[in-house]
Amino acid sequence: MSVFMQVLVSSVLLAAVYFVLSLGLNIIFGVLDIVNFAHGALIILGSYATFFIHQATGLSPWLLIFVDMILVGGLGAILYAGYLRFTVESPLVRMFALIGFSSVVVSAILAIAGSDFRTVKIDYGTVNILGLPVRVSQIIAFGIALVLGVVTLALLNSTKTGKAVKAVVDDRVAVRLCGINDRRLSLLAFTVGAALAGAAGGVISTYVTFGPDSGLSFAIIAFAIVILGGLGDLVGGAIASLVVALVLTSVTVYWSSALTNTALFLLVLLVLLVRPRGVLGRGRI
Amino acid sequence: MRWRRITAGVALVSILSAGLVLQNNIFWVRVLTLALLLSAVAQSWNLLAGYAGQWSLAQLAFFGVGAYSAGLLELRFHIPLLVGLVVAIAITALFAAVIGYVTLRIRGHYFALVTFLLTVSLFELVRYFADYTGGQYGLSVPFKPGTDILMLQFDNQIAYYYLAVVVMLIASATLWFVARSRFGLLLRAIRDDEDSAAALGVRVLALKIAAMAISASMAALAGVAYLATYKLMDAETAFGIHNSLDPVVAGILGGAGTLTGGVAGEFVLQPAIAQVNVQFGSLPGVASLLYGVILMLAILLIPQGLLRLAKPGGWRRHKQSVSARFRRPGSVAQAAKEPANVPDSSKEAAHDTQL
Repeated sequence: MSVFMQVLVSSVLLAAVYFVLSLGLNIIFGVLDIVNFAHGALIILGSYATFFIHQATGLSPWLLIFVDMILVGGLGAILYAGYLRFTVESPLVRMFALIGFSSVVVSAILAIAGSDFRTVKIDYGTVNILGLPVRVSQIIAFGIALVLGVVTLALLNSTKTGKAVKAVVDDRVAVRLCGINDRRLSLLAFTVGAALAGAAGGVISTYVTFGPDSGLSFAIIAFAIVILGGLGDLVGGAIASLVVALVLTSVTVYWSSALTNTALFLLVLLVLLVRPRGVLGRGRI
Repeated sequence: MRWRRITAGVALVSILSAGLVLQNNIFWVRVLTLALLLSAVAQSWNLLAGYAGQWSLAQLAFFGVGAYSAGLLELRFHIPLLVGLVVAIAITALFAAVIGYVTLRIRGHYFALVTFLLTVSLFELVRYFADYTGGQYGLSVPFKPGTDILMLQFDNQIAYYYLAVVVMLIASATLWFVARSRFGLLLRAIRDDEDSAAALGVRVLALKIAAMAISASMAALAGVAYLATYKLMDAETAFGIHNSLDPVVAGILGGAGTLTGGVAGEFVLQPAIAQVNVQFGSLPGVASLLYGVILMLAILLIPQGLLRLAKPGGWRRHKQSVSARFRRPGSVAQAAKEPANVPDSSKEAAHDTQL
């Protein structure tokens, strides 16, 4: 019973972080129709930025999340405006261009920072939740992730630009006909998506150890959440985050931590077979 | 047409004679052997992506599934490699068909994503079941001196070079037959407009699954030949995520939807990687950096591939389409000038939103 409670509590805490992992991917997919294969690379850039700036200046890693957002978001903007925009206008081709970018980033990190595993150490002690010890830093990460998620959803739902972004997700042609500059929205979406990936990287750097290849595992989690939640469906994504967190924690506890990606692969196959539009049935296929 | 025959003939003669010319230069024999084996995989990628429009990231994984099947058959059941080859191809084709049945019903983005996850998952499974697969040390088949055709075993390196030539030729011939057949025509119809094809009575799912099974068999053939040549197959080679880019990069570089693009791509890529490895030692990440840079540049500058660029008049068409793309990114006029092998975004996007 106590093992089960442990699984439950850590899953709920993880779910919020996972949701932030998937946010950027979902927004970029919704607006640009591209599965951003560079998502993991952008996340891991955020983690490394937090790690190195924290090491050099001693600034609080929570504050550095904003720095990550600016740095990685800026890189995303440059990538889109300076490269992706000029490639052939086909989501599939652009997806593979982003795989190339991801490969470049990961090998650059490997060359510069080496293959060592790192983590941003913060120790605020532990508290008891439902009789189980939980690190305070995990609770702060949970809170920040929750705030990031809620703010993003609120901005999408209540601002004019956010509504325009949601409209592009629904029907790009109609948005064009309304006189909205959808190319500028594409740039915006890519920038925001990259910034959110950077923020996710910042949050997760305090949570787990990471190396150059860890971006891949984070991206796989994000892919699974986006497919399970339904492509372009952020609320479904929130539910999917909890499911994925539960699955991953259970697999790690009851089976083997060496098979987490296989569990996610099987989960994705199952979703595609029985519920291709995601848990709420509102996603696109 | 005549241009194509002449270049293909010249390429074939130089590949055949290279083995004899380079007899004493074992380094280049090895590089070209690897290039030939991987060309077969790149050709299999091209069949699935270039002709059927399904951009797979699991072609090297199918190469690995073939090699591991044949290797396990030899180690566990003492089935000679040449017999195991046939069984391994059947296993891989079946495996690909099952994966295809699940993933090919949903179009576009999902396929690349799921094949990517498949590769990652197979990597984990091979490491996890180390008792059977050798785990991180890889699966090695015993080496016995002398020549034994049944075990695909030869006593000199040049023989393996010609084995690789045969593998490449079989894969290319398969691609050629598929491309010329009615089946290939239907595949291209699906690639260009799936809905119209389905409306005209083309059995879209069945044909896509068949294409995936055939292309997986081509990759598996190369995988078994790799195992015969190196006597070793490991998880990183077959299911490593950076390596899995190799057939994709070669296919795009040579030209998606061309008959010999995969071979041309590998013959540029492999010597380049070998040179870079010689220059920089085995600095970690250099090869994957090269894959990434080549992929990004090829997609930006020559999305139609080297072969179409080298065609008579190819350079002129290339200059027009590139300058249009750079002057007015994303314009409709630009999309119309791009080569036909690139999947049409506007149609697919419009369809998705209507659903």
